[in-house]
Parts: sequence; structure tokens; C-alpha cells
Amino acid sequence: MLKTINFTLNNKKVSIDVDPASRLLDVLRINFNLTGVKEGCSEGECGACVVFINDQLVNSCMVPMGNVMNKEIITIEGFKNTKQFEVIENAFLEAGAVQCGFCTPGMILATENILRTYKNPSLEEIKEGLSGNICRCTGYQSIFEAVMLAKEMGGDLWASTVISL
Amino acid sequence: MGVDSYIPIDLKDCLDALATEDYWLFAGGTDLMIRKRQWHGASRRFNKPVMFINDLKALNGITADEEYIYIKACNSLLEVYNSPLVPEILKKAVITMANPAIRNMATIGGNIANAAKVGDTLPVLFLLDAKLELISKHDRRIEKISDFIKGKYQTDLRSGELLYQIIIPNKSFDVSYFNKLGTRHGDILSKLSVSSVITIEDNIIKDFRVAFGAINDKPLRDRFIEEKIINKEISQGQSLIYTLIEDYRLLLHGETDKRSTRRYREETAIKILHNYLKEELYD
Amino acid sequence: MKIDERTLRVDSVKKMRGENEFLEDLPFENLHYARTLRSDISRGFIKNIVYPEMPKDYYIVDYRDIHTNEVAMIDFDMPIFAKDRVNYIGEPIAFIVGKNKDKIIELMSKVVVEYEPLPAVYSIEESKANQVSILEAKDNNIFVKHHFAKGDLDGLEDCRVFEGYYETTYQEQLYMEKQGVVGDYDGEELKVYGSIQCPYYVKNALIHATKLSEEQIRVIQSDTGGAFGGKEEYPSLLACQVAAAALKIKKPVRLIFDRREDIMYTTKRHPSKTYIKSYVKDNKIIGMKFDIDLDGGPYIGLSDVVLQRALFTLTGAYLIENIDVTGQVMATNNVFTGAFRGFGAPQSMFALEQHINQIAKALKVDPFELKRNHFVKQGDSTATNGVYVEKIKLDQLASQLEKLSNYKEKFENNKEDEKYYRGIGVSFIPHGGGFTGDGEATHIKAKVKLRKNKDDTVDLLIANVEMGQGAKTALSKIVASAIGIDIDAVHYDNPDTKYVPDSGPTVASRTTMVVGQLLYLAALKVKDRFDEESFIVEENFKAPDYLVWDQETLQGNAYMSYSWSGVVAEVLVDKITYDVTVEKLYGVYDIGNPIDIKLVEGQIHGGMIQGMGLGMMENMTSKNGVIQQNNFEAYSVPTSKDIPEMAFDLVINKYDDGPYGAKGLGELSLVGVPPAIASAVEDAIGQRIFKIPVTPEYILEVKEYAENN
Repeated sequence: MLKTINFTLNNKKVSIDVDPASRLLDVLRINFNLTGVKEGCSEGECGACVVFINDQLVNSCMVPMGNVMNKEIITIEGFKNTKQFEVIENAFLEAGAVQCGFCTPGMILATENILRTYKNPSLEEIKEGLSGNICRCTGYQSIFEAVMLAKEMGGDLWASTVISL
Repeated sequence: MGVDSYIPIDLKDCLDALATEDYWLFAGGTDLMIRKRQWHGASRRFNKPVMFINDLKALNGITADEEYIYIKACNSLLEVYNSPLVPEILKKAVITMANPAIRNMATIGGNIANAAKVGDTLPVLFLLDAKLELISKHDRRIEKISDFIKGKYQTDLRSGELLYQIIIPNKSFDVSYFNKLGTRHGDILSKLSVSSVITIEDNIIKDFRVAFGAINDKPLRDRFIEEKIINKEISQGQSLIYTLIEDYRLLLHGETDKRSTRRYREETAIKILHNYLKEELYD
Repeated sequence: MKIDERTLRVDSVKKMRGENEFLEDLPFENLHYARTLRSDISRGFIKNIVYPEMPKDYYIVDYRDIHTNEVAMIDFDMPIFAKDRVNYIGEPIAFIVGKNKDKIIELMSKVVVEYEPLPAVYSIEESKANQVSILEAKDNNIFVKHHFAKGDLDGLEDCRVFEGYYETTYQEQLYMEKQGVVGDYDGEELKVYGSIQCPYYVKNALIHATKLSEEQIRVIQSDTGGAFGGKEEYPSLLACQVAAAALKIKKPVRLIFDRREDIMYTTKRHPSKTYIKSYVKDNKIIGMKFDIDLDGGPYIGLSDVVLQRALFTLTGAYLIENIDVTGQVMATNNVFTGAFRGFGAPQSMFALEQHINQIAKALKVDPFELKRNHFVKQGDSTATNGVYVEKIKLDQLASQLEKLSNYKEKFENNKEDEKYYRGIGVSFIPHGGGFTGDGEATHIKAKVKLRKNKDDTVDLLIANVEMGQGAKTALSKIVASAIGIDIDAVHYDNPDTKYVPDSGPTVASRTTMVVGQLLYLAALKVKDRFDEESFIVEENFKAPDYLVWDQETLQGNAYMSYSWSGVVAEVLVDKITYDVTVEKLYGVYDIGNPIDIKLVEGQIHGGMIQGMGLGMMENMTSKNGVIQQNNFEAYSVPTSKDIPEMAFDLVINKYDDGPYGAKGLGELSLVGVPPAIASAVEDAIGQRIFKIPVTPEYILEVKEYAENN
């Protein structure tokens, strides 16, 4: 049974008739053609599908459309137009933190989440913040460097509102 | 294709619907979406209608009075972790669960209602003497969590009922201990967990509780064993350590599965408890 | 572009923006989907299949739709779709193809397969016992056996003898992008797109399977989200399946695995069992008997070559004068095993290194020193009676490793504390670059082309793929540096067999060393003629004349060149839980000369962590033919919270036949890590370790066994 779900996607109001039990991941990729979210595992373990919903980092493979009503969703396609993305992009490039690229959009959104959460993220905090994003190529160290570099390069860009801890 | 679904406008609406039909109750969805996993792009095949309750105001919020802490069922694990009202030991358990993105969505109510053997909030809630408030259109009841959880994926949730909130006696403890082991250090389900609290006053053990998670089909806690050292002097407690260990050893029934072995689970749980007791009682 | 200037990766930007197109992102008109019907039993006959009535536009695709029902790998024993027998749980029997996934699932649920099960073989032991013989063409379960020897073990006297049995288990590549292919036939040309490592392997398999001519078949690599060997030979099977579907319905058909499907049914690292017996005199290992068994699953695939590499990498970094080496690939009805970074060397080198560590402990000698005293030198004979023709800088490597890791002090002073045992371990590993033996010259015969364009850009026309390792950047950099142009002026598209020659597969750590060298030589030709408007140059592989190899007797130079690694691991073992924490990993590598230090760093870190997974946390077991750790969480690969401190250093030792002196690295960075970790755990707990991964459960077993005996 289809229902009309209204929400904001990458800063645009959208409306779609869809089975509320269907996955946000599927709807983003198939109905909205946003292929930057990837299906890596379908169990919320790998982080390749993360998006922001109301500023919270979530695995879109775990979200039923019924839980999306009236929410604000940002995918990598929306995030890549921000100043924060520009800084993170340069940091990842400089640190050599991209190999096959499959985990990368997820890593970038997780990085943004870390930088919004912690004033000066320690290595431990970075590791915790990335713990839901699996990379099989890089061994993670260059990604840790990229996060620290982004903080250095971006400075005041991130509001220091502490979300957790 | 697809299945019937319902997005209630408020709690009353939700309970009215539940009174007439059996629904899968969707909070965060982090268990149900895996259970009903399907080919990318295909419909989720829920065999009964689904109801989305996560955003209901009535099911969110954490409050406390002198006697109890009240945690509504749809609070996310992150919200539980961040609340200053929540007991230390529950926070210690919650922060080990999955990863940040999951903790943003998974709910404490979902963890309880799912009743998975590996659910990390469960042993701690057993330890805290948590009670659950279950409501339906015409009824409201309170049940101890240790009675509500019957076994692996089995609860005492009755027809038309919804888990409304978790009620935890507002007590504090000197020591809160939670140790979870997995096959790696992050983003992992439990092989086994040991939780414990101790309060010592004037050389007397005022309170002592232990719960083991992910070993037996439901968390293991035994008040009878705990009471062996309650209201005893520390030195008496020390001499009873071996008795306690052996009592628990008899009650632990682990399994060998894809993550670990029976021997490892039972043996290591006991060793962890033993070491913890030595550390706490031989200050 | 100068070779010693660091360059940024050429393909990162699109990836960061989510703009590059993996297979599942590629749009196709009128795309149909395929879902695989798989065997429920490990071994037996298919007596009957009852399919539901197929509605219009839904199709069954099976062996009847295939011209030659064989997947061409080295042999042809694996069917594309099982016809009347199955040999492992999950073996593909048919596709159901259509446009609506819900409908396909519904149709699939109505299929009824009737089997007549036969007894199955589930382990190397069972296979060797041969009570059940599962290979049609043979009466034992041995796919292939190899043997070679050097010197004379029988003549050794007055030696201390050491023996040990060593075990390794499955490992899953767990590339982040699942396996997938698309087949598209327009009546004239068959196009197969895939997340693949070897476009020409796929093309050759398609030529063998279909009635089409070579010109009608085109294989196009899509952006590949990790591979690690898992997409080396396995996609040939998928490509043939999807081609059969596309040829039948003349519409594009896409097959993408679910993650659980991928974990359970695609190629895995071969489990191994090894027996070593060594003869030691005056603290020198002067003789060794080495015997290894690999679990090959039910079809031979690439297992022969895996076995060869396992054997030819002996005797590691050490000179042992008298050896007798045997190896077998045993057939079982477990999941099909195949290529995975290291390709047999992780198995044999774990056994070898661990054995030598144990000898050191028994002799009361520091393993680092004992190993160092056995290092091979230029001019020494190899295990296969070849010669180490190039300069070997193992001594320098060991010194740099000691300096980097401060090994000696830690080994002598490692203190356990209240909470933890502390241990340190070391390994020294070679890895042969390029194809085994004379494979480059006799099988691959790589050819590369460079096209110089009117606008002064240069196109790389090769069949090698970017799969995250940095091939696009490294190879573009070699060409740009050799010609003297900007790296932006060099273009290297995903290979399409219509436009590129066969430069060989992206495997065996050959891409930089072999293909890169061909590109370098071609680039010099381009440089000479750069003022011409547009032209194409070609370069073909020529075997170096020092490479003498006899594939029949397995004697001579097994590899063109060797890269070398030394790895030190520091571990903590929790005294109560036996939980292992790898605190530090140090590596020193002789890879000739780095093409780009950041690319090298990426390979080293990635290999270290994937090796760490194999060494201590990726425990994959099979029970009655079923992989137990069948979902993403249960098969635990390292997360960010598991990462040790990693540090590395390089020894420069330019290889004359490598581009700017470069040799291979891709696999080397993994192989040395599991033995270093196992040896560190042994050091920490004071008990011998005989298998990897070294899990807390295994340590408990080891400890309890020691206490009871």
C-alpha cells in the first residue's frame, strides 16, 4: 500500500508515493537517482549508505520511508555543495585517503559528523566516530589524517556544539 | 506489492489501531530492517502490517522523580547515553552498541522488544531491577523485565500491547562495571558481557548485583547468589568469592556458534567476574 | 611530472562526490534483473526441477541456454550453470530474469528442486582419507600435486629435528562493492560490463562459452570498489551466466549479489594444513621437509597456480640447502576457493615463519637473529634451483627494521603487567613479482599501446584496472614522467577490450612492475616522436634472458624478481579474556623504487590491516559445506577502532627491468603480517601457536592444553 511521504531532500521539498516499509536507501537510489549512497551490507554495519536525517548521521539501509515523514535528508549530493565539504575534500585528497572510493562518500559524511560533534577531535574520538564506516583498502590511517587535517584547515567552519558526551 | 502500513498521529491513535490488528511495531527499525532484508529495490516482505511509532511524542523523553527514572520506549540509544538522568551502568552498555549511526536510530524499547540474546541493554536492565510499563487501548500493566523477557526473541508482549516506558529504581551505586567482548573492538555484537554494581558503606557490602549477557538465552541474574554477600563485612565477602564463582558457573549455559565457543564464553565470564570481585573487595 | 614528486591521485575527486559509477550505478535502458537459483545440497544429482509457469517477459536461463557449459579458467571443469550434478552448497543452477524484483522473488520461491544427495567431503582430512571420491575423472581427491627438491635430506647427520603442523582457514576479500556484472546483446555485439580485475580473462571465457566470434565480444570494466583477487577469476563465471541471459532475451541483464550471497558463495582464500620437519645443526637450518595441503573446493579454478606460488615462495627469505617440498590441492564440497592477495604465500609463509620462530625459541635464540643468519644473498640458489640474480638487501632491510621498531630492546625487556601479556614478533617475507615461472612470456604475452593525440594528450591503452590500488595514478605518472608532460595530459580510461590490447590481468603484483615497464618503454618512444601530430606506439613483453624456467620439472627461476618485507608486530594479550590487541606494526620494504610515496603508503597500510585481519580476527569456518560467518557483522574485519600504530620505511634497490626501478608491492604488504602477529602472541603468552587467526578462543585452548599437560 502506497502512502505519500513528504520530506526535504538536499534542501528541496519533495513528495513521493511509496510503500512506507521500503528502504530509504532504495528510494534515494532508484526513485531519486542519487547513486552516491551505496548498498554495502544491508545491515547498518558498513556505513556506505549513510545520510544525514535532521542532522543525525544514519544508515539509510535501516530507515523505512515511514520514518522519513517531514524530515530533512542530506546525501553526499547535497553535502558536496557546502564549504565544509570543500575543506574535507581537500583534506582527503592531501592525505591520500581515497582508494577504491566505495566507502568514501560515507567516510566524508562521518567526518562531517565528527567535526560537528567534537571541538578538537582526538584520535580516539575520530576512531569512535568512524567506527561504523568500514574500509577494506586504506587501513584507515590516511582517513584519520584526513579528519585531523580537515579540522586544521577548516577551523571555525564547524560550530562547536557538542552533540554527544 | 508491499504491505499495509500505518503512521499514527498520536498515542491514542496508535493504541486504537493495535486493538484491532496485529502490527510489526517499527521504532528505529535497526532490527526489523535486517530481519526482513530483501534484494535492493524489492519490497520488504513483512507478513503483517507495520506501524511507525518512532516519532510519537508520547513515546519519547526521559524523566525522573525521587523513586524512579522513566525512559520512554522510543528514545534512541544516543538519547539514553546523553541524558544526565540515566544510570552510569546503562550508559556504559549503550556506548558499546554497534556504531554512531546505529545509535542515532536504534531505540531502547526496540532492544527490549526484540529480546535478542545479544541485546546489550538487557542484562543491565535486569541488574537495575527495571520494570516495563505496557499499555494497550483498555489496559495498563507493569511487569518486571526479568519476567517480560522469556528467552531468545521471546517476550510477554500481549496482543494489542505496546511497550510504553522503562521504569528504573532511582538508585546510585559506588561501582558500575560493564564489560563486553566481541570479535573486534568496535561495531560488534556481544560474545558475552558481564555487568555488576557494588555499594560498600562502613566496611559492609550494602548492595551487590551481577548480570551476564549473551551467554544464556536470556540474561542471567540471580538475587539468591547476590544475597550471599549482602550485608556482610568485606572480609566475609572475600572469603565467599569462590562460592559465588562456582554458583554462577553452574548456571551459565553458553553455546558454540559463529562468534565463539561455549568453553570460552563460560570460562571467560567467570574469570572476568572473579577478577572484578577480587579488585573490588580487596581494595 | 617528475617521478620523485608526490602526485595526488587522479581519480579521487569523482569518488569523494559520489559521482563515479560503480556497476550498480550504471544506467541501462530496459534493464532486466537476474537472481540465482542455487543448490541446497553439497553434492548430488539434480533429479528434477519444477519451475512455476513463467509469465510474459520472465525467463529461466540455465545450461540449455549455453553453447559450451564450461567456465574457461585454466581448466574447464566448472560449469556455468549446473546441469545434472551439484558439488557445493550454493552452486548456481539457473537464473530467473525479469524486470520486477518482487515478481522474480515470488517466482523463485515456487521453484522446486529434487535432489539425490551423495556423500560429500568437507575437509582436507576427509578428502585425503578418500573414503568418498568426489572427482569424476580421478579416483582420489587430489586436483594437483607438486614436488621439487634440492640437495639431500637423507644425508643429514647429527641434527636436532623439529616438527610442526600449521593451519590457516578461509578468508573473505570483503571488497566494499559486491560482485556484479551486466550483459547486453543487441543482435550483433555482446557487451559485458563488470566489477572485474581481468577483462581479457572474461573475454576468453565468453569466447569459450558462446558461439560468438572474438570481434563480437566486448568486455568493459566498470569502476571497481575493491577486489583483492576476489574479482580475478570469479567474474568469468558470472559473465558467462549473464551473457547467456542477454543472448537469450536480447535485453540488458544485470546480476548483483547480495552481501550474504557474496560472502557465502564467491571465492575464498584456500584453507591450508602444513607439515614441516627441520634439521638444525649449529643453529643453522640445513634441511627442511615441507608438505602443504590446500582445500580447493569442488573445482580446480586457479588452485594449481595458488599451490605453485605457495611452494615457490619457499623457503622465504632464507637459504636452506637441503629441501624436499610437496604440495597438494585437495578437492572438497566446500565453497570454491580462489585468488586472494598473497595467493598461497600467506599460507606457506605463515607455516614457515612460525616454524622458524619455534625453532628459535627451542634453541633459546632471538628469532630476529636466527632469521638474519639465514638470509639469502645475490647468487644463492633458490628453492627451485634457480639463482637470485638481483642484488638482495635483506641485511640493510633488517637493520632499518630494527631501527624503526627498536625490536631488540623490546624483545629483551618486554614486561608483562597486571593486565596484559606483552609480545613482539618479526617476519621476513619475499614476494615474486609477476606471473609464476615463465607465465609472463608463455601465457600472458602482455602488450601495451600509447596513443599520442593532436592536442598533445596521451592515452594509455591497457587492460589493467584501477581497483583502489592506485593503478591509474601510478601508470599515468610513469608515462607522464617519461615523456615529460603533466599528469593531467595523460588519460587512462576503464579498459574496454574493443579498444585496448591484452596487457594481462591485474594480479600477481605485476601491474606496476611489468605493465608499468612496458608503458615506460613505450613512453620513451612517444617522447622521441612527440612533435608528430598523432600516432600509436606499441610495446610487447620480452622475457629477461636471465629468466630460465622449466614448467615440467619446476626448476629454475620461479619469478623475474623479488620484493622483500620485514614486519615487526607488537601485541598485548589480556590476561583474563585473551583478547589480542595489535599495538604497533612496523614494516620495511624493498620494492625497488617507489613510483609515488603516498600510493606506496596506501598499499602498505591496507595490506597491513588486511593481514592483521587474517592474523587475528577474521575467523571464517565452514560446517557441512556452509560458511558460518555469513553476514557482514559476523565476519569481523578490522574497524577504525582496531587500528594499531603503523610505521614503514623503504630500502631502495632499483630493479633494472622495472619502471624507474620499481618492483611489486600489492601482495607483499599483507603476507608478512599474520606471521609477525602470531609470533608476537607466542612471545606474549609463552605457548606455541600453530594456527591463524589467533583468536581469544584459540589462545584459551592453547593455555588450557598447556596447563593440563
